[in-house]
Amino acid sequence: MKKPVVMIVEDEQIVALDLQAKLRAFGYPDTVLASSGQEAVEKAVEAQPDLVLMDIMLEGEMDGLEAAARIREHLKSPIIFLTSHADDETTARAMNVLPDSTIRFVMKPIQEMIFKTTLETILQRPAG
Amino acid sequence: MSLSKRPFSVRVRLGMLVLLALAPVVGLLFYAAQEQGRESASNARSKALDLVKIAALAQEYLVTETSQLLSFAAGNPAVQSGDPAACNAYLAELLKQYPLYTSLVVADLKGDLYCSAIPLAGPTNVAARPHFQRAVATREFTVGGYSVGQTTGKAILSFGSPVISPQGELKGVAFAGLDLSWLNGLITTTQLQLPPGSVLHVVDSNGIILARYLNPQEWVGKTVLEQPLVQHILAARGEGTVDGPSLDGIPSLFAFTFLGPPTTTGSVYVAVGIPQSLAYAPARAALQRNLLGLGVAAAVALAVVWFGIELVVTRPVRVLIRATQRVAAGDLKARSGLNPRNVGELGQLAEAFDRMALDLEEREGERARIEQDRLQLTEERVRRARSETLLEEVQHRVKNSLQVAASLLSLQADKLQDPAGQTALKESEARLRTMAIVHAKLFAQEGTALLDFGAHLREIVPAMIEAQTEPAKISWQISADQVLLEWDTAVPCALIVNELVTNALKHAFPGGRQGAVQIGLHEEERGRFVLRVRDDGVGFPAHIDYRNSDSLGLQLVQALTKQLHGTIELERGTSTLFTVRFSAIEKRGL
Repeated sequence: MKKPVVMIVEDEQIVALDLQAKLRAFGYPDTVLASSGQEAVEKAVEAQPDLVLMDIMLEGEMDGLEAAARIREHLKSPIIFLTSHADDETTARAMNVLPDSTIRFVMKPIQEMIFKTTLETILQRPAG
Repeated sequence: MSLSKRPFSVRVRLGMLVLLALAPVVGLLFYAAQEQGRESASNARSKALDLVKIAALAQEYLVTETSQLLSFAAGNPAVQSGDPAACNAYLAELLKQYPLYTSLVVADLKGDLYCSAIPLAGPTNVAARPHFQRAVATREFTVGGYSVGQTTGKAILSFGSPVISPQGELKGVAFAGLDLSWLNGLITTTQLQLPPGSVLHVVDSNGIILARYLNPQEWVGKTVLEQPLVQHILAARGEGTVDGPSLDGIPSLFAFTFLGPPTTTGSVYVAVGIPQSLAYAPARAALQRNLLGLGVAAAVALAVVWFGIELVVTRPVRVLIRATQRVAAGDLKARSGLNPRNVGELGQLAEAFDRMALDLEEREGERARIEQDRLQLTEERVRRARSETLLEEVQHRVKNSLQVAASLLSLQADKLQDPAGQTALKESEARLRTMAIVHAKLFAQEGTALLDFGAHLREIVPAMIEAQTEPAKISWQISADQVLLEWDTAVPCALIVNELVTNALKHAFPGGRQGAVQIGLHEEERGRFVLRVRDDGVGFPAHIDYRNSDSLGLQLVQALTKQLHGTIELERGTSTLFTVRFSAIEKRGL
């Protein structure tokens, strides 16, 4: 069975590397890194990842929610938002952008077990 | 706006109102003056008529007197005797006593004059005279006609009276001539007080002027039948008054009546003319007086209104207008300052205006205060918003930095080959994450910097156990009150929990041993808390003094407990129980 490809959208490169290492440790070695919303959209179209880890606060004009909406125009992969702003307003915006059940939120700082459980839960879903 | 459309001032309007109010009075006075004029004119006519009646009465009296005089003279022996000398002397003497008469003569039955008061120029016969014939025929007193003397220019009225002897024998006729100029005396001597310029005419039915007062030589003997006055008098055939031009052309009031009984030459009239300018002078004077009085009264009224209005209306109105203009220009302290008791309704208006200005000023003041407060509030909000934005930014960067630091440690740990070093780095990462999680939770909620530490325990402890142990080996039980802690207490407390739980998971259940971990957190008294961490593992090694351990974790627990002004106790037995009592730290001046 082909290993799922996970896309990491994170402008803090160290955090991105840490996530990459954690994913590798969890058994997901195939990852694609993007550090801005624009780059994320382009690479997502190109790489067609099975899962997107999206930081909401991104550098540049496009934030994570907008980038996720753009990506969703091209592929149906689930999206996990990484945020320290899981307040009502952010959640409402996310639900408005992606009104489906294939999104999750993981709070920063990331607690390893919660992160791992969330990953496994969402990747066991049938794709698409 | 053009000048012609400019509205009249209050003063002009009130002045017009006063004039309008005076109009009926003027009308009434004018009517009264005219009435008075008519009455005066009527009085003048009546007075003039009285005068001619007096003249007529006097004439009748004179006729009666002449009848008696001639009767008396005819009976005198000198006249009866027929002796011209004695008769002449007697009549001359008699004429002296009666100067009104121009002549006294006696004629015989043939009509020859044989006796005269004034010597005769020659033989004179009067047999053809009507009144001679009538006197002879009737043997009674006879009034002859008027005639104007060609030489004297005087109008003479002749009378005849029969001369009868004591035996009753008719012997002749005695005649007397009466000069009508006596009427002038009537005007000048009576108390009628005719105004100067008044005239008197005696006119016979042929329109011949027999006598006239004023310039008789110019008019007596002339026929003025065509004059409107004369026409009117002859047509009236009696007494009356008429307005018209006099013979001199002066507009006059005339009164006329018959003068004496009808004569042999027809009726004779006497007419008095008074110039209209004088006849009606009292009426006109009264009218002028009234109108002048009215004019003066109106002028006084206007002056009173003009200056009174200035005092009671215009000046207060100007004061009000000035105050209104000042208020309109923004000077809300402007007041009319008028005394409401002094100027009536205007005073009430001024009082209402002053109240309104005061209200405006107070409201403006209130509005300015509210505006000032609002500005201050807005500035405060902007400051607070800036502070909050700055704080949010700082918090975000702190969280990010903690996440980056934790990631760095994690990455480093992955690279180490030495298991002890790897563990040390993983523990350090866990401590950093513990701090980062508390930080994130504290600042994720707006408006409060308190963390519900009980809820935090229920979330964090299971994740720790699942991350550090094999699945389903270790169960947990958490009993925690809602304990609200600030940053300075929450972070050390979270680190203590992290160290004690990690320590238990690390050492209490060796070799895949199953067991349970119990965590309790309660508020013993206000601001004083107790944290209990119990495990039912293999028990805390008896040879280890937890107060002097090499374990960094236990050293941290002690240091942090001290930081929280707390105490730590360890109970050893079938289970291991760490009890930490601590207080909430209150730091100020951040």
